This record gives sequence, structure tokens and C-alpha cells, in this order.
Amino acid sequence: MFTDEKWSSSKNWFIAAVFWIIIGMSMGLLTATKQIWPELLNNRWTTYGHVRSAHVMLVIYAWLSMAYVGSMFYMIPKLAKTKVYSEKLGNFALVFYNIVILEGFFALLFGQTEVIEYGEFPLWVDVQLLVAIGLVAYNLFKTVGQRTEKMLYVSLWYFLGSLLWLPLTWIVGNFPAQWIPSGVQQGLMGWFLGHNAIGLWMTTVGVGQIYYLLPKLTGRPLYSHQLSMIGFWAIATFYVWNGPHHLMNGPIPGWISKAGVIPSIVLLIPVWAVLANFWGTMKGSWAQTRTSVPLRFTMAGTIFYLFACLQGPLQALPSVSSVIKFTHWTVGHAHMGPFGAFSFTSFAAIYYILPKIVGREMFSKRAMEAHFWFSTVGFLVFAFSLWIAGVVQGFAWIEGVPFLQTVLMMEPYVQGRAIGGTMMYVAQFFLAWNMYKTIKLAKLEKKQQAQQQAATA
Amino acid sequence: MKKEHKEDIVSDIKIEHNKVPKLLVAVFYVVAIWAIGYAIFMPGKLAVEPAAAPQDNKGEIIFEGTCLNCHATGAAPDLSGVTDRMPEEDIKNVIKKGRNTMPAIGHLYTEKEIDLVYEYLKDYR
Repeated sequence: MFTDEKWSSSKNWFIAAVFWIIIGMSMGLLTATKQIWPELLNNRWTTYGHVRSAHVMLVIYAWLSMAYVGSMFYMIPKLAKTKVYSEKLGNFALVFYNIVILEGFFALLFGQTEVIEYGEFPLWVDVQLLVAIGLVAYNLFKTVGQRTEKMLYVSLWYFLGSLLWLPLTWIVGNFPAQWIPSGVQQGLMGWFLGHNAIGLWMTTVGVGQIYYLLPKLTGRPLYSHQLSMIGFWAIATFYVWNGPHHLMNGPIPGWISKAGVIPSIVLLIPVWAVLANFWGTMKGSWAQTRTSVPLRFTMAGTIFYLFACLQGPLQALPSVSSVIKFTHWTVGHAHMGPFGAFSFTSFAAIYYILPKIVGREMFSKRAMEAHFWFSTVGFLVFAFSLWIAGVVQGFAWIEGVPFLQTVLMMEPYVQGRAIGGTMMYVAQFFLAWNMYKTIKLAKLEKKQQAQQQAATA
Repeated sequence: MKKEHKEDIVSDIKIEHNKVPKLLVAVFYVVAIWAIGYAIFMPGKLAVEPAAAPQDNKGEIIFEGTCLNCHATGAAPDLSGVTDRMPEEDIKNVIKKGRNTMPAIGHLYTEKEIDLVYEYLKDYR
């Protein structure tokens, strides 16, 4: 029933991912539009709260996670110099994972939620998703187990680590609320998932992707083994601590608060080490970003990663947090990592891997260019609107400006965000169309080749 | 450990052994020293002054938030000057146990809070 074709898991996970980025981002655009016209689609299923959480869950666990799994189903066997342990299981896991995501999507629209950021699916969906992730992890660990290359390349450390960390954070964050003694503890456990879904899944798999793509795309050696070690072990050690900074100035003990702030700042070490490694590798190759769209996506991703990780640690400080907490700023920041940094590296991964799988170049280079520029410019418009809005809003609240007035002050920024968001959304259609065309043409060409061979034979 | 510019090849990817840039080492030390200092000397939270003075108008707040929901809308009698018409014990009993259509609300407040409401009623005319 499930195909055994070489690289089919990778390809199919990518296709599903791109389907979900369109659905997930329409939810996001609807959320942004509702801030301008609150009455829009204001029925029982698509209220603001339902749509917003559906957007967050879909772009992270449907789009980004599926794109990650897709690239891991290609990169891991390549690095291990073997084939995927079981393409069939990979394809089965994909179907299962998609059913679970659909369940979660509809559960959210029907109003079932756990009210945990990045963990909104209800418990009955959480359990199934854990099984799906388990199947993927099992398959990929088995793949590494049958490797013919003795050494493990950096990307493999990141991938294998992430495949263990995601289930761990998922279990802690989605622990049944009635088994946890108090609200504060629930908050802390929820934010353990909230931050580590970013830190030990999105970031680490994304960084693994870059470690793989950079040497392949530029043809240059990786800059420093030592920096890779520092980056990996520092992120594995310090990222888990970051949850409490989301409850900064809240009702948590001072020592937990400090245990959240300090590792947040210490994160500068792994982030800068990793980036130094990337940019050291890039030395002398920057000109290639003019012609290679995947490389440009990768490098833009590293730059957004740097900025996300300059904002993040500073936001963890109690003083900064007291201004920007609960404002639009946070939303701008929250999009920079998952979209600006790691969706970009996933786009690069798709553009690098898909042609290798189907045996044909991407159909349109101009569509790739359009995809890049719409994504980048759209994101910048989107993010700067929200950052300015957040600072204005934060200080207005401190000044004691009447709340309704602060809402009205946000009007131009909210509109700017929707315009930027629309551009980001439009960009993804170039990706989807380009992928569709490429796969279709590749099939056609293969058929023609077969026919020609049959004719000449 | 190999210190020279030797290259390893893992999975067909060349890996160099360049040294960690000096600037980065400096950043590592600064961050580490800051972290220790922060852990020892800082409170880890924003020092916030207690919200205004301790509330000395609690009786008024309870009266306006609870009693007036009925006693100002015509659903229940006007309470101005009620302390002249009824003894203290009776008023407190009505608050605690209710009377006619008025529900008992004694379980919602402490003895002291009910005293404060009574004190406020004395000046309510």
C-alpha cells in the first residue's frame, strides 16, 4: 500500500509540508485581517481565538515540522551513506501524522484547546502526535544505525538530538493539567514546551540543515570543528532553561526567574559560535548568493537567526520584559525564528533536495526569486510594523494612557502587519506552483525517456 | 587534538580545524562573568513598589461592588441612613444570613470586612 520508492518519504513529506504552509498561513492572514475587521468570518468556528491557535499549531507542527522531517529523510541517509531504513514506514508515518494534524486542526476550530502556547492541541491529539513523532524518530535512528560512514557529521548530532528532545518537551508540556498541583507549575511546564519547541526542535533541526547545506551549496570546507562542538553542547545545555523567562515579573520565585534569565543571555555563546562557523565557511563565497537562491535563503536565514537571538536574550531581562510583554513586539519576535530563520532554511533545503530526488532542476528560477523577495520584504514590513507597534504600546501602557486609546493608536501598524503578511503569504504560492510544475515535468520526462528507450530497443 | 590546519573528511564533507576567533572567546568570558554576577547580586525580577497605599476604603469597594447592584437599582430599598433605623447587630445579621429576597453573603467576606462595610454605611446618607 505504501510505496518503497527511493527518496519517496522525503519527497512526500515536502509536498505535505507545502500544502500545510498554505493552509497554516491563511489562518495567520485571517488572524491579522480580523484585527482590522473584527467582524470578518465571526462565526462559531472561526473566532479570533480559534483561528490564531490553529495558525500557530499548523505552521509549526504541520509546515515546519514536516519540512524538517522531509529534509531529514534525505540528509540523514546521505550523511550516514546508507538508504532510509524503511521508506514504507516513512510514508505510513506521513499519512498518520497528517491525519493527526487534521484532527488537531478541527479540534481547535471546534474550540477544544489546552491553552498552552505551542501545545494547544487537546490531549487525545497530543498522544497520537507523540506516536507519529516516535515512528519518525525510530525510522531515522534505525537509518543511522545501519550507517556505513563511521564518523557522525555535525548535522547528525543536531538531528538525532532534536528527535529525542521533541518527544521529551512534548510530554512535559502536554502533561495532563489535573495531575499538576498548581497553576504556577502548570505555567512553567507549559513554557518548558513553549520555549523548547523552538529551542530544541525548530532551532536545532534548522541549524543541522544549514550545517548540511552550506558546504554542499558553496563547495567549501566547514570552517571549524571546535566551534561546532561548542555550539552543539552549549545549546543542549542551556536552551532547556529558557522557559521561565516567559513568566518574567510573574508570580514565580526569584531563583526560577534567574534560572531563566541567565541561560537566556548565555545563549549568545552557542548562537554566535554557530554563526561564526557558518560565516567562516562562507568566507569568499558571498558573491554566490547573487545567483544561487537556495544559498541566499540559507544566508538570509542565518542573518534573521542572529537578530532573533539578539532580541531574545535581551527580552528575557526583567526591565525590557516589563515594557514589551503582551505587546505586538512579541508577535514580531516570535515570527523571526520560525519564519525568517528556519522556514528560510527549509525553503533552501527543498530547493536543494527536490531537484536531486526528481532528477530535474526546479521548473522556474524566476518563481524562486519571487519566492525569496516576497518572503523577505514581506517579513520585514510585517516585523517592523509589529516591533514599532510593540514599543509604542508598551510605553503607552506604562504612561497610563487609557487602554482603548492605545488600541486605536495601533491601527496603522496592524494594517502594515497585514500588508507584510499578505506578501509573505503570496510568496508561498510561488513555491507551491514551482514544486508542482517541477514534479509533474520530471514525471513526464521520465515517461518520455522510457518511451524513447522502448522505441530504440 | 589536531591543532594544525588539517582537514577531516566526514560524509564527503571537508571539515577544517580553525581556531575559535579571539573576539568570540572574549564574548564567552564576558557573558560567563556577567552570568555569575547576575546570579549572585540581582533579584531576578523588577523591584515593584506595593500598589498604592494599603486599601483604607475596602468597605466602600465592597458596598459599591456588591450591595449597590440591588440597593441602587430599585430592586431593593435605599440604604441611606440605614444605621439610624436598625441596630448594628441586625444589619450585620442581614448581610450574613440574608432577608426576604436578599441572599446570604456572609460566606464571601470575613468578619472584619463586614465591620468595614458597616463603618461605611454609618456615613452613607
